[in-house]
Amino acid sequence: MSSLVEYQCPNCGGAIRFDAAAQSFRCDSCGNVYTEAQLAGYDEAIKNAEKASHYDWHSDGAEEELEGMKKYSCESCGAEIIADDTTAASECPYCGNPIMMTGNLTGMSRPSRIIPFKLTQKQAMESLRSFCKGKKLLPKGFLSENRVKEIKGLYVPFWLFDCDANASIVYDATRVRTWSDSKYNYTETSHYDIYRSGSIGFADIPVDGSKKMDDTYMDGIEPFNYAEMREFNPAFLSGFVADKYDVSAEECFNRAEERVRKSTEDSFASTVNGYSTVIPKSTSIRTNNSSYKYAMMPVWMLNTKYRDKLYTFAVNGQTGRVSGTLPVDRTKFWLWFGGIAAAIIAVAQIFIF
Amino acid sequence: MKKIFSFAAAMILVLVMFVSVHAVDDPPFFDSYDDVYLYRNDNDDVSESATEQYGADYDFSAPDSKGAYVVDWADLLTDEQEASLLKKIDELRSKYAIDVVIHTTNSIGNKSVRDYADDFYDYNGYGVGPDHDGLMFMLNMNNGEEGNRDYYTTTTGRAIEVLTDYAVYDSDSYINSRVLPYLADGEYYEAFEKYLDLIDVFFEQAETGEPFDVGNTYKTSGSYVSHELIAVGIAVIVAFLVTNSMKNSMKTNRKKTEASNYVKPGSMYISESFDRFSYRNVSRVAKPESSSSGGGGGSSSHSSSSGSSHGGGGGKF
Repeated sequence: MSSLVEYQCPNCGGAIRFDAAAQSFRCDSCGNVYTEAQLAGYDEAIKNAEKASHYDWHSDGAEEELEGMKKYSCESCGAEIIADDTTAASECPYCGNPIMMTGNLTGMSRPSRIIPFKLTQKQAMESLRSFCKGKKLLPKGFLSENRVKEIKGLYVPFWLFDCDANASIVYDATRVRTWSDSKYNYTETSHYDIYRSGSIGFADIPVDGSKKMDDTYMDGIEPFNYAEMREFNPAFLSGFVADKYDVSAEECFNRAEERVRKSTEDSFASTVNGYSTVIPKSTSIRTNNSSYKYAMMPVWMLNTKYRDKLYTFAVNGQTGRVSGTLPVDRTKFWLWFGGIAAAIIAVAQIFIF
Repeated sequence: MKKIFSFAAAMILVLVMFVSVHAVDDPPFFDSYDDVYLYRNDNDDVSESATEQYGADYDFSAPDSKGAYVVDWADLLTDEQEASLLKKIDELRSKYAIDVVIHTTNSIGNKSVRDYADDFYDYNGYGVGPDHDGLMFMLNMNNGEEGNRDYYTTTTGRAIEVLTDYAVYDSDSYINSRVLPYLADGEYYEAFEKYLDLIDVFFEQAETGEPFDVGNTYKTSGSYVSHELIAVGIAVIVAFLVTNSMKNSMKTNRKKTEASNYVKPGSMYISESFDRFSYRNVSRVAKPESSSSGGGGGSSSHSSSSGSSHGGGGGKF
């Protein structure tokens, strides 16, 4: 063994010296002792984990053009909507204003997948009603006075991202033990270096490809049931309008990567058990087999009016999940707040006296 | 900003509610005089026989014409103050069937303050019943020598059990420590008043069978207030958490930052892993010293020159 090999202490970063007598490596600054095997393994782990995270996506769909579609634009909000030849679109699904056909659609690639509408308009409104049920802070008259101004079935363009993530993560974990004798309380903190390397696969992470559509609304109606996803067929569009994608797949990579990263970190961290604290020290995530496809998802858009204020809800046209913000009755809120606080204080009197 | 104001308003609302709740419950210890008094009247063994046997027939050799239960030789009190203290003492005597004496003097001769107090009590024949139940609180002004003046409580019979070392043993004891500030300021009347009030509180507690002691300390209204504040704090936090979660359920259009729904089932595979011990730190903290004044509580007592058993305590001021 050459004594010229230089290692950094995994714990404190100080220089490690080979202790010939003990046949082991010793850190002068923190006093830790390592075997050669330990150091070598650790070095490699760190190198893996320090590689820059890397994502690489490519499309798996044939870049065919969608044909036989008409294009409509809304002069009021600027939305661009498409509908097939048989469907006469007259109102903008986003703002409710009249829209105009501006000609045949050209240059738009054909979606590769579609989830057809499953909920009827009536069922969508029923979903909203049951969403309001049991909401204790909802103003009393909201359900009865709320008028649905507009309800439109709309196919929203989504990019669905697939990938396998390969991750190498180093954690710093501690275990704490306490005990005491007649004079002192002792706290022992044991530090561990933890390494996890492996892979995890993701399928069809949806990111909506419409600028007009608020991302939070589309995140809110997730998930869709992909078992019912079909090959795209323009026939499904008849009777509904569709939004034209105006956010490219490339622009959606960041959203997808953010979600892949978070879930990969969560899943890997869940394999580190039995410690009091676990802190990731370095994380490297690389994806491969990455691909995306273009799909249309069914969404009911509801514009409702309650006391001169507009409320917009999106209802998942397949599962009925509702996304939106209900008004909060301030009086009810503070009554609940005061009531709960008063009840707790009243109960506390029993213990205080 | 609006939110913060609303929150503050709610806090005030809750506080007002707390005050009104408290107004009903307070005061914690002066509210049952009547009950006790009635109980006493019904109980022939204790109060009536006590009054019959001892109430009117004391042979006072104390040379004080104003009333034998306030013997103010050092002349620290006005006549009105003495009358007012006497009234309090009479209440205590009838309520608890004990004697309560306040005594001031300018000199105690060569005796220790303890012996002086015990003898003064014994030889003047204070005390109710065969065990001479009662107590005396005395001040020795030592001819005005500051810092060398004595205060002392002597207890006999039942009062030994009621006024434990926790109450009157030394300057840290509960009653003494409450009275001392007045004494130091020369507010003798206020000191005696406070003393008698606390005697009332301690005897009242003793009626429950669990006199105040180190294991059963007297909770001041201060500690009630801090408990109430903790209760209010917890109430506000819990109410906020609950209402906030109700409010959160009103909004479902939220950004998603994870993709746990889209993990391919069974696709997670850990190819390499280690959990390697690195180093350990041991820190130790000295345990807090356990209080030395014997956790058991109770009263220390001794025999006076006349052979009767006395408890109590006092100190300098």
